[in-house]
Amino acid sequence: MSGNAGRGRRGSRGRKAARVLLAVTPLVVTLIAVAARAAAAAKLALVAALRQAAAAPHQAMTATRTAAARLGDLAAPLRAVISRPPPGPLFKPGIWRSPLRGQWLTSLLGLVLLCGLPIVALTGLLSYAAYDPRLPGNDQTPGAPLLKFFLFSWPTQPSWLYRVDQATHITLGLALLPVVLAKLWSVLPKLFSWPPTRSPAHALERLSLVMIVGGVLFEGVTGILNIQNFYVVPSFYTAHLYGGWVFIAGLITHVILKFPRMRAGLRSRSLRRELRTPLSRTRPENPDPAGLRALSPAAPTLSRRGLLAAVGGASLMLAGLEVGQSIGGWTRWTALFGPRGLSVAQSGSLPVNRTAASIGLTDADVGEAYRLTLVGTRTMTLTREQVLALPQHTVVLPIACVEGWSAAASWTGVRLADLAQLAGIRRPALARVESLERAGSFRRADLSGTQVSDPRSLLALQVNGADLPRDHGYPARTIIPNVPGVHNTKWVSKITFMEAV
Amino acid sequence: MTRVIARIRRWYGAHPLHLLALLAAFALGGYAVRAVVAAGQWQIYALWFLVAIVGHDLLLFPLYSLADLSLRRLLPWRGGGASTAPNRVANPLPPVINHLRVPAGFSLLLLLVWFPLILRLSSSAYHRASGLTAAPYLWRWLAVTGVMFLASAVGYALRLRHAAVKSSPPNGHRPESGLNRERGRGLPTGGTCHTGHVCPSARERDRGGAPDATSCASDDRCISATAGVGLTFGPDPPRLKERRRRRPGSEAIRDLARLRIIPEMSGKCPRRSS
Repeated sequence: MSGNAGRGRRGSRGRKAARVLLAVTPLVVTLIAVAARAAAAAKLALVAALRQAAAAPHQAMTATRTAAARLGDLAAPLRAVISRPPPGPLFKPGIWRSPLRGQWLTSLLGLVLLCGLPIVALTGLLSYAAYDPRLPGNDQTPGAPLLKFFLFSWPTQPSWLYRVDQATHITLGLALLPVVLAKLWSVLPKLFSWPPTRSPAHALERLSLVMIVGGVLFEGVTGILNIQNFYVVPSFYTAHLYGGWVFIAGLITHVILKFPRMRAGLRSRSLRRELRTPLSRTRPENPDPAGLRALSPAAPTLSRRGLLAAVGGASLMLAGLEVGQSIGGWTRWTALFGPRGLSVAQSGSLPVNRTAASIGLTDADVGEAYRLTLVGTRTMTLTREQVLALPQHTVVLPIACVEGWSAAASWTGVRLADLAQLAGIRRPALARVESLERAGSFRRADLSGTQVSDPRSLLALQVNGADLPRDHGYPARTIIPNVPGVHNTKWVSKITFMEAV
Repeated sequence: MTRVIARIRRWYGAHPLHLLALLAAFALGGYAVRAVVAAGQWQIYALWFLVAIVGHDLLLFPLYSLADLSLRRLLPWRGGGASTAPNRVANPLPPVINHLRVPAGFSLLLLLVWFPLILRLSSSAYHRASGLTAAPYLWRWLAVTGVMFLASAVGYALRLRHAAVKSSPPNGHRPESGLNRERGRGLPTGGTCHTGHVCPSARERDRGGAPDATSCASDDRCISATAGVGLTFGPDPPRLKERRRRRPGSEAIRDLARLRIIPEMSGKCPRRSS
């Protein structure tokens, strides 16, 4: 035992050291770079002073004094670092030669993103609200109470709201990716402008770009990897929610600071005229205060409207080859790349999230031994046959996943409100639904009073007129209007109802 | 008050509200980051955030710009436009470059987004989640890529046909001079020189050819006409650069028009005295 504990402590010490190393390394590297530059600058100053002294002995004193003053000046090394651009071609302004870069293009792309990205952000926040994280067992991302000011009791009406919200979030997010990349391309020379800062204001503003650029791509990467079940970023919910807030902070600031410039940029050219300008008449934009236009533009190989068409076409392609998995019907056949698109259409079944095999469900779990436990003021255990004997209802409701895909189906089963009555609860305020799953974040879900009381909320036993497939939760699963798919708990083993006080 | 603001401006470089907005943003961002740190495993998020910041500018951009540069080098027509070799009739074909760039770019974008499924990096997790296999995604990607290149090739073929029909009049002779479609607007259009060089004609440029002054580089007056209207860019002979620096863009057009040089220069290149 003691050996184990010792190993554990040593292990944690090792991890701590690694953590410290990770944090300190960039700092040390920066310091060394600055110090090397400062030393070089000081040496240059000294050599210059000595040369001057040798050339004109009567000026020696003054020169030495100047050199000493420069060495004594704390800002001198920094100034020396800043005054010369670092080696490499990227920092030479002449290297950026695309004739299409300019304030108008950047402003137009900015306007498209200004219209689109807030929708993606808002649908994302709505999606978080849809999990009803204020219910005791539902919050996947505890902490930061101030960022949860907007939460409200998630309604069951309209039943398609979550489906549309999530489809918009994913599809629009994918469609904006080419626009984001084009926008980053259009301002890329600014990354290498030298000196890196002109004033404290400029320095802070550039620092704030870390939030918007890092934020938008971090959100894109985590989202895109998650919809394909590529789990290389741990805890998707934490990463995507708080990364989203960092991005929102960056976006709001960027819009406040750059809106006037965007307006001026949009007014500098006419969109209609640009759309009528072929390659032969494509000329570079006029120079702008931000210096986005190239100093010596090369000959264009693509018209401005051609670039816009390519970006728009790429957006349409990405969205078009995915959105069918959210719309369903025949459009699912067009979703070549939606993870529940064409493949699901070919299989002819309802899309699945988490198969029975993946959670290690055995025949014994779902066979004769299966019991449903209801807990309220009294506790009941029911066999599947007994549940089937209760009044059955049929509703058509979608299952909609946070990953963007969704599908409507006809579900048949017992109303949750009826089960609450059986357990002796008249006005349910909360229901905790638990699954046969032994592990995993969504082996249980808390439902609000509104959700339990909705007549369309069922403990479903059948889908589309047949018994539930095992991957869809046989022997029984819940189906609730307008909730994230994972809150429609599968393989339900126990429901605990709580009375409103 | 104004004096205080002016002092802050002088020291800080912007209005105090600028500072306020930025501090508010950093506070909000910092608060969100604090929640991530509290949740643990923040180092890996920091790493991913860093990758995201440099992802386009330092990873993707060098890759795609290098690919684009190589593509342009490989194409028989520099810059995807007309020929730059002297003593050779400019290539009458429309430029092919964008017919390669677009399908290649679209295909790479698809790969960039769906690489975990296409390359089967997440196939086991995907199978556990969906009961489906990731096997078809590679073939779908290849098929979509093929279709896009095919569509682009068909589009190019149509353009070639269109260009061929337009450039061969019924009598079968190539015209001496270019179409002066834009003469009325004061832009020179160009045509075939006595040396066989072709000045950038409106017709060719409309077809998508890059304006190319160097095909006329052997004739001074021809250069001055094309250089004056800012049609020449890129690595030019030194004299050309000098002229461009002196009178760039529209000013020069107006000058040339005033001096009535344009109509003379535009139709065809002036004959060199032998």
